[in-house]
Amino acid sequence: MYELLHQKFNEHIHLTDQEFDFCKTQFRPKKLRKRQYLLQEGDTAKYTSFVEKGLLRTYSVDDKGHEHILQFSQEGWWVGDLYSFLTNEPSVYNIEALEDCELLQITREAWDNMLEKVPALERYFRIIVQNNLIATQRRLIGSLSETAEQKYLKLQQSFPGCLQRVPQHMIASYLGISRETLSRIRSQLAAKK
Amino acid sequence: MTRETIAIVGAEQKSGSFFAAKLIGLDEYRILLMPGDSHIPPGDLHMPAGDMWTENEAVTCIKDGCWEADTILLDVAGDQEKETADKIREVSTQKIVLILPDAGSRYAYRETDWDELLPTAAIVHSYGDPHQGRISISGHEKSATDKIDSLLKKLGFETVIK
Repeated sequence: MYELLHQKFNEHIHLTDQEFDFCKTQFRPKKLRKRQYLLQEGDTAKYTSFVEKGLLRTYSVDDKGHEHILQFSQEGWWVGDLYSFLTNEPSVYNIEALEDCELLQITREAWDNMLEKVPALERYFRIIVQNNLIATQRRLIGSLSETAEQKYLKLQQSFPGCLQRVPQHMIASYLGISRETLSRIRSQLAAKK
Repeated sequence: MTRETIAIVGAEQKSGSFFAAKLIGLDEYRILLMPGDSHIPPGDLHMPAGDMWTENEAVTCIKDGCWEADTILLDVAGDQEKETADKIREVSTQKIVLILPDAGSRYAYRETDWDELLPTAAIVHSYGDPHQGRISISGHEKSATDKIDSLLKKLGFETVIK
């Protein structure tokens, strides 16, 4: 249940068995079935979650009812609305399980408690936030300057194996292009091979 | 609003079935029903009349049901308590576990130390006869007792926090 979390911690820091055992007591294991919501617009994010198993999507809905996918979160990723989690403000996002999921959730209070008792985790979370900031900036500049084909190829590189798990219309939504454009790009790329 | 999931272990017992009916009638939570006695097949658990929401269901595996749950309600016979605790210990960490009153006992009070059996859960004990509409609760974590107090009030109970 905690194997992947342990592995991810170990990629950046070293925790003693005693420290990791303590960390385990701070997380809330939660199973989510496919199509269930982890968070809905208007809710306050009481937890941030680590994905042990499964795949989720974070999306917003505009005034015309169109969905815009911001992120897919797969095994080993953290998912949630950090702004809502840190400020207690209502979230503007929806987070839905695209597959049956196993999550490890943590409240703000437990998170603070864990960082106080295990200071090495400060480094781990600093690296996670840094990486997330870099990825967000790259996605932003990519969405402003790259062609649809470049965006698709970058997505393939960033999420190897993930694209097969996501319906095409959601990939199109993530890239900010129509289904027809996505279908054309895939046909063109297949023809080049 | 995201629907929270409440698991009821012992949904065939007096308190368990009573709370199941009330919660399903409230139509605000996703309810998972599980037998407290491992010899009873989940298929024998019947959804109380008035269930309008198809996501409520009887679940085969106690561990899986409690893993899905945000809050767990327990009405388990004395000889099944340790076995139940062993099954759900790992998945009840940081979750609120309400120990329902033992409606079959004269004092409606369980003597088992659930705080020891489930040391990483937020245990809330309850006392009294739910059928009389009044329940007392106690627990070490204020946020957990407050949340259960609010839930019980929603269900129409008069509550006392000890």
